Amino acid sequence: MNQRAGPNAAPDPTAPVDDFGLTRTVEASLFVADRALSADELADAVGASPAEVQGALRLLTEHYRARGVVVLEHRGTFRMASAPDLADTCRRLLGLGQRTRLSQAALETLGIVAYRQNVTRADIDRIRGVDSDSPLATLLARNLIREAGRLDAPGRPAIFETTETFLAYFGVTSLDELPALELPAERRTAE
Amino acid sequence: MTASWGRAGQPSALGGFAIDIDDFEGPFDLLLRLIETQGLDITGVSLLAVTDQFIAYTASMRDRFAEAASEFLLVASRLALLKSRALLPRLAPEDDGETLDDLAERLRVYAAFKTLAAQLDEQLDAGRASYVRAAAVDLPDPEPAAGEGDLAKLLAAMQRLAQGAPAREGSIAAPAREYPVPAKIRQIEALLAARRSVSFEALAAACASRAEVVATFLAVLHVVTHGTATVQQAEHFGPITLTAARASAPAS
Repeated sequence: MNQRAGPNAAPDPTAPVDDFGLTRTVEASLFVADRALSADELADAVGASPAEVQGALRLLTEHYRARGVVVLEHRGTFRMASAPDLADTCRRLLGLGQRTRLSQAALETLGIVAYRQNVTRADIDRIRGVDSDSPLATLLARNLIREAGRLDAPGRPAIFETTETFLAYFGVTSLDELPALELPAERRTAE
Repeated sequence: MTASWGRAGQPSALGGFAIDIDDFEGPFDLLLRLIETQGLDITGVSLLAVTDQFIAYTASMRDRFAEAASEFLLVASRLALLKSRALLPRLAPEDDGETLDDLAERLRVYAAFKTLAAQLDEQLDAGRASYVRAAAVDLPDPEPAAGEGDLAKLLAAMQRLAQGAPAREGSIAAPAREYPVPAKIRQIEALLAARRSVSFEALAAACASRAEVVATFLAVLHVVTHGTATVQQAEHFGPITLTAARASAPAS
């Protein structure tokens, strides 16, 4: 609202103290959180309006773009993480070995969940033309996707969405940075 | 032949093909028309007999075989579909659900996601990834409040420890201190030097505790692997005899 993220990347050191007060509070909240937080949750925690928090989040996202820490945004939730290009150093520090690869089936399934979001098992099976139980189980176990609820349809099937771990795993800071999906022209689902 | 089931205006390659089965006798394409428009019961029509008669018919053909075969397949597949619908009524609503266009559309969508999967795989190859902080650092359990401690309980716990109360399975630290294996090794080597052979039972009988037996056993293994002695056991579960290997004893 009155918060100006501004087109300039670096935060203005002469910005009003109040603005920075809120931004710093949101920054501290993101820093200590051990999960992704929505703007509403942050607003509750810091005692500001969601719109003000959104402004602070934009400021922080810009600010951290060039730092060793970034703000991941995943479907309206935010989390601090190490910058994607520093993966090697972080892996070494954390004592992590080689990253395990995903199978072709798992990648296809993950792509469908990431680009469609809130899809049912049947949706995925229909697109892939084969049963997707096993790749779904793999992706769930690796916390790349999760159940986002159930569809209000016969059988109340579970619907799946990606997690912020998915962003971290692919080294992007938001879903917008993923490669574009070249769908056939007609009957594209509007979203 | 009257109006052929095939394309109007073109003489049918199946013109001379007539069939003769239980419920029907006449041109082949008429059979289909009777079933579709006059309600002839297809379940009584033997498609096997029809096919056999077509194959017999083609044997006499000189030309236009491909045309005849394709016309036959067109009609015969329709007959097969009608018959399977009649026999398996539940199939009927489903096979009208998806058109070829739907299938082509699905294949295009799948191809798009297949391409995407390859791109995601490349993205992983780039080695970029983010890591988040593990968790909050608070102690998982509430800290005990002041005055909650019970000195008597602490003392009792220490006494249980001191008395060597049954250690949990897998704990091997205490016996190792009580009966050091190196000391046992020296003891066994001294015995062998004096007596040349000794039974493991005798060694075990001299032990004060199970832990000491374990230490003794480990010492025996050590002595044997280092060639200081050999072991003999005549039968399963029989007595084990330890004999000094004097001849080839290595200078330690």
